Amino acid sequence: MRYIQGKREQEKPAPADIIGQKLSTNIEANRQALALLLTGCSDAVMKDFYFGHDADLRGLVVYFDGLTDRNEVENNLLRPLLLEINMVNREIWKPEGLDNFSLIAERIVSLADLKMVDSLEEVIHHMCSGDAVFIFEGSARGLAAGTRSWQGRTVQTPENELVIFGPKEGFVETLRFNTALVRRRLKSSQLKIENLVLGRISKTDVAFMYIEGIAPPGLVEEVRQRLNRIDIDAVLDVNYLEEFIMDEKATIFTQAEHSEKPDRVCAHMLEGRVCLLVDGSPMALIVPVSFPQFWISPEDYYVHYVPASLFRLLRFISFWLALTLPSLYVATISYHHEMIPTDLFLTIAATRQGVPFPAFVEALLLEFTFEMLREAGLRLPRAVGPAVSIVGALIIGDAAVRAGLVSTPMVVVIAATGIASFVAPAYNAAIIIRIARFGFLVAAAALGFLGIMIAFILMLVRMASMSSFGMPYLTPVAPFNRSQLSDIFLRRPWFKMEKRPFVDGMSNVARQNPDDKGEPPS
Amino acid sequence: MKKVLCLLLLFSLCLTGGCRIREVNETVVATALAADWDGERMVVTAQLARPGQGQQGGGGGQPSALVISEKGLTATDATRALSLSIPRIPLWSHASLVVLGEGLAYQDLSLIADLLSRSVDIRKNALVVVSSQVTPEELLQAETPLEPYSGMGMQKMLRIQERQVGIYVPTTLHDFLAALATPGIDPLAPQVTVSKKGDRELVQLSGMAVFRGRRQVGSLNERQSRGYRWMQPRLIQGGLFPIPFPHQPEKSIALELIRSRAHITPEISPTGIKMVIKINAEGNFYEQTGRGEMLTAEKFAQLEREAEKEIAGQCRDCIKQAQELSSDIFGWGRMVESADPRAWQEVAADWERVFPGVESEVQVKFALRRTYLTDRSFEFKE
Repeated sequence: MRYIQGKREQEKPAPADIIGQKLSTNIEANRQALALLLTGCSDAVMKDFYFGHDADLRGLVVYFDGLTDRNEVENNLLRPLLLEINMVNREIWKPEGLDNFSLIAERIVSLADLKMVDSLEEVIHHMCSGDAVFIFEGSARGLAAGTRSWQGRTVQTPENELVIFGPKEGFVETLRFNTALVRRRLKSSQLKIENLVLGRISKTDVAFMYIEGIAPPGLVEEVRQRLNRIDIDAVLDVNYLEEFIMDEKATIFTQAEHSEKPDRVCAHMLEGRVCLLVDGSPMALIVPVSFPQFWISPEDYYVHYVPASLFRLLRFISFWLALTLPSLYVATISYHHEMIPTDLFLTIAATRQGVPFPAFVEALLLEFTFEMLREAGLRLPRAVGPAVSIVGALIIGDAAVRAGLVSTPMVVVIAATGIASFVAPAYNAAIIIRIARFGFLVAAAALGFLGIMIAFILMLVRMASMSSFGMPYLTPVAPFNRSQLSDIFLRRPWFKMEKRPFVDGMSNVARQNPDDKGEPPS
Repeated sequence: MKKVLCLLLLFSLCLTGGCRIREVNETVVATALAADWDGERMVVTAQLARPGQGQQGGGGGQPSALVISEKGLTATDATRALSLSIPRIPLWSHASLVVLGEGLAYQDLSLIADLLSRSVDIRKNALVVVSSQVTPEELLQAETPLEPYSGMGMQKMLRIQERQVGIYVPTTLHDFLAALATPGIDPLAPQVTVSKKGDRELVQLSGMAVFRGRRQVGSLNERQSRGYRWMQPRLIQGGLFPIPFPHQPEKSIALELIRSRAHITPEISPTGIKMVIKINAEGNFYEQTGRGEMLTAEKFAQLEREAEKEIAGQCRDCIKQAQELSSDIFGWGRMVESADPRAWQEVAADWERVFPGVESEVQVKFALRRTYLTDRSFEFKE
């Protein structure tokens, strides 16, 4: 083997050298170059054929099997070239001044999506995207035919963002389907979908969408520039991009919103934000983002505004519970005993009788177990999942208490915290809370309420100092904006949402006609 | 690097102490705190909740509360001495009852007042009671039925009887200390004693201890305590009081108080000070033990007059007792001061001697409101 490899290296140029070459007019040279590039690619199909009235023209078609619709290639490309070309008048076929190439593209092939390619790199890129590429004798250009067709997931209900009311479609892994889902909701040429290719090896299609006239041009330009500055070998998910384009790198606070729902993406774009899609990932990335946005669920806008406002308050409260409940409990029973009603304190003291650990260690132990169970539940095969959660619940809820390792109130506190943390509608925001909770716990164990206050102030200072694409991270709480605030803690009725929430640089703020609200005639 | 240093500095600040961590397992809840004077030394008594009992039903016939006393030169001294006999830190902040021993109350409150007001561990909304005829230790060892800890039991009993029966006014430590420190008002606090019922020793409320300056000088009985309650310058709600049945002296009628408010205005003239006490009360007809139709328009008016007479009588009894003890528990001195600061300047110095001579006039207006959906008295078949 080593001998053969060594020999081959001597005879042929390295693929890296020829990938940048242009196509040549000599079809044999093109064929050899492509064969070299596609060495070891067993899924590549390369077919030679002769066509024309006298079968005197040589052609070559290359594509990757599995990505390309073979029927399309055979019926709409090969059949016209090999058979139907004979129905074309010979006079037309050989006019002076018109080369074969444009004749084929314009008169013979019955496929709408045709592109000219003139370098080997482009040929390979189109092949990898599922196109079939035709190369003809005597022409230094190739014809890339849009015959993309591969097996992918169909549009389904998103698994991570479940809603009861409202649209239930979710993004899939195919970029084109995703852009189509968005386009179907915003039927306007104002919706711009710009494409670029990222990743040296992966050559991933990345689309960023915005609504012209609503999204601030400065923001769009900033996103475009930041994306263009990314140089990485592969982009397999939107998170690759998020970590590159976020403003603050050294922080746990997520600076983009992830969503699987096209309706949510549309809602955000209507408020002037920019949305990113990556081929191969069902997640959309929405920038800029502000922290209070994370407890807004798209569902809020699909139900009556009174229950929606109450749900939002509930979510706001459970956000605080998820963040601080364990630390408040530890601080109160370790430092501030006088704050607990005596009866409750006696109960707690009775249940803690014989528990060997300080409250802090007890809390850490339970929190750790809970996080472990949660993680295990995510990763386990579906058949084993329930078994683990039952065992987990039994271990934490019952056996640990009976064995005297932990006290019952602590189990209640940790369980309540766990439930509260599931209330957050944005999963990546819930993760921040999960992490910050441990910081709060340590602070509470070290200094009691004072520690919680210090941790809270540190967190607030960090958040207030951050910004996402120029928008302060705590908008609209700080800087304070009263009109926007009414759609953060409560949900504004639709007929009152006359203006769009203000994103820096936005000019088109009117959302509806303030004089006509569809009232019954008086 | 600078950031790391700053953080380290911040954390080192946290470690310097000042805040002490006290794990639940190292502590014991003190449900009541008591102080007494045995003639030479301070006696501090604590009622401690035995950990792991009480709420869970207790175990093995052991009483759920542990009463423990220690002596010392000062109250703090005695308190600290307590820790020689128990292995846990008592949480005084949970004591919802502060018992002042009779010995201490008659001796001098200055022995304890400073500690009570200064200590951060003592709850200012705890109730103050004075033990009568028993030492605080005996009192705290007595039972309150249904409640495992008599300290909490007494506190609840005091608050509930005020709403339900309306006899004694619970006094919080804050109010008590304020009255002790303010000129023109004297403190008072409910008295508690122990009564034997069968072989059980039960806690019983009996009157209110009246102080003059920093010493107890006597007490109000039940009727006088009711009188005191009417004359507080605040809205009072709830309570039940009997009035005699017209023309049948051995029978009575019970009236339920809805609300009552007293407006007290001093009338200051060169000849002396006169307090005008106007009480506006509303109540319901609750029970009658005699026969006969009471719920007619004329009888209603008659009942109202009868109730007014009763309330005024209770007030007068109370005023008489307070003036005999020359203790201004009503805070009339302060009312005089706010009505006429100059006149107060003249009498402030010997208010103790002026107070017994202060005239008073009680005007009561009582309105009978409801009869609980029964618009006639009960009729008997003869």
